Amino acid sequence: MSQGDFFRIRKSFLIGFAGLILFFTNSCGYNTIQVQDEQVKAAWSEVINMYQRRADLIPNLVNTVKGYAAQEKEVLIEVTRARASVGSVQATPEILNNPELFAKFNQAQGQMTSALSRLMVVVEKYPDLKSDKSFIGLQAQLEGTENRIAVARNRYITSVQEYNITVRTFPNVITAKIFGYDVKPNFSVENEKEISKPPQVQF
Amino acid sequence: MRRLLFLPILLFCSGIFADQIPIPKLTHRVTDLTSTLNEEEVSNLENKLKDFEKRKGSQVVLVIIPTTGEETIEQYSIRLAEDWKIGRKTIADGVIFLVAKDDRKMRFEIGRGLEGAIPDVISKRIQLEYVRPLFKEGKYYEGIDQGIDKILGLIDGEPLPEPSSTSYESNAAPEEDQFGLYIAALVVIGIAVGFIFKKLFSLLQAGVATYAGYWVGGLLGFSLEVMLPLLVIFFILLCIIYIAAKNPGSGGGGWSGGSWSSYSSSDSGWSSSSSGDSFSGGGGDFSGGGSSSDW
Repeated sequence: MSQGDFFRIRKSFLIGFAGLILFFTNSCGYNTIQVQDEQVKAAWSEVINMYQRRADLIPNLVNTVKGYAAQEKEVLIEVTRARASVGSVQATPEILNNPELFAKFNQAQGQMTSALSRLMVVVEKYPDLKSDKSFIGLQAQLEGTENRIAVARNRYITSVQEYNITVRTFPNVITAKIFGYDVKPNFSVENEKEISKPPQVQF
Repeated sequence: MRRLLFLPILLFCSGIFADQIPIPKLTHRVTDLTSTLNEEEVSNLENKLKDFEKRKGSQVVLVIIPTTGEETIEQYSIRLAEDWKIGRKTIADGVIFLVAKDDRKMRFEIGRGLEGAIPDVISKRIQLEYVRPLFKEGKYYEGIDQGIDKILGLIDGEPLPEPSSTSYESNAAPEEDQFGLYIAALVVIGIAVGFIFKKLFSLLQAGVATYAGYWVGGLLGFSLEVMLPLLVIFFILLCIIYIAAKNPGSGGGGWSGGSWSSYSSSDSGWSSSSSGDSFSGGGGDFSGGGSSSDW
C-alpha cells in the first residue's frame, strides 16, 4: 500500500466521519430539541411576565379597596401576604428543570389567585367601591391580566407538550439522553382549573 | 408538518376540549351568524372596516355568534384569534369585536401590537359607556357601530407602519416555485460536490451530496417526510451520474427531469388565495389582551 493510498483512505474516513456527525445531529432531533427548548423558555417568560403584571397591580388594588372597606382586614392581609410569597419564589427559567421549585411557584400563584377572588367577593358588599372610577379601571386591568395569564399558561402547556413529545420519541430520545435534555414539568390539572378561571364577579 | 402530526395528540392531551363551538370560517370582515344585522347594516360596517384597513393597515373584524357554548367568551375569543390571525404579521394590529348574543356577552380581543393604543381599561370603558347602554335597549347595530368607531379612533391615534398597496398578500411563494428551486439546488449541489471531490469514492460522495441537499432543503423549510423519497432518488441518481462520469463513453448526463415533477409537496400546502374580494387575516398574533362585558 503506497503512502498516497493511505492518505486517500484516511481522508475519506475523516470526511465520512464528519458527515456522520452532521447527519446524526440533524436527523436525530438535536436541532429540533434546541428549537423547542427555546420555545418552551419563551413561553415560560411570557407566563412570568403576566404573573408579574398581576403582582404589580396588587398594591394599587389593595389601597383602593382599603379606602372603602378598611374593616375587611382579613382579606386584605391575605392578599398582601400572598403577593409577598409570590415574590419570594425566583421564577427564572432554571425552575423549569426543578419540579419542586416549579410546584412551589405554582402553589404561590394559586394562593394569589384565590386570595384575589375572595377579595372580589368581599367587594360586592360595597356599592360605593364598585362604582369608584379607579376601582373599575383596576378591575378591568385585573380581568385582562388574568386572561393573559390563562392564555400564556395554555401556550406554555402546548409548547411543553411538543417538547416533551420530541425528547421522548425515538430516535430523539437518544440525543436527549446524551445531551441531558429532560422532560419539562407542566401545570397540573387541578391547579389549571383553579387558576385559569378569572375571578368571578356576580351582579 | 411535524407539528400537524402531533396536533391530535395535543388536542387529546389538553382535556379541555369538551364540546367546543366550532370557529366560523373567515370570509368577510363582518360575520353575523345570528342575523341580527340587516344587509344594509352589514355592508355599512364592512365598508367602514375595509376603508380603514386601506387607509391605516389595521384589520378590525366583527363577529356575532349566538353563544360560546361551555367555554367562556375569553376562551372562545382567543381560539378564534389564533385561527383567524387578524392583523398584519409582526405588527399584530388586529382587533376582533366578538358578540355572543344569547349569552349577552361581548369582547374586544386586541392584537399584541395594539395593546398600547387600546389598553384593557379603555376597551372596557368603551364597552360600559357606549356599547352596553345601546345593547340593553336592543339597539345592536348602533351599539356595534359606536364601539367600532371608538376602536378605530384609538387605532388612528397610534403611529403604525403604512399599509402596503396590496393589503393582504400571501407572503408564501407558490409551492411549485419553491419545489423547483429546491430540486435545482439539489442537482447543482450534487454535481458540484461530485466534480470537486473526484478523488473520493462514489458512495461517500453521493452520501455527502445528499446530506448537503438535505441540509439546503432544511434551510428552505422542507420537512424530512417530504424529502425522504426525493433524497433516495437523488442518491441513486448521483451514483448513476458518478458511474457514468467514471466510465466515459457510456453517455453520461442524459437523464430526464420529467419524472421528478410528479412529486409535489402537497402536505405543506397552507397557501391562502387572495383573489378578488375575499378577506383573510394577515398573520397577526394575540396574547389575550382586551376586555369583556355583559349587558
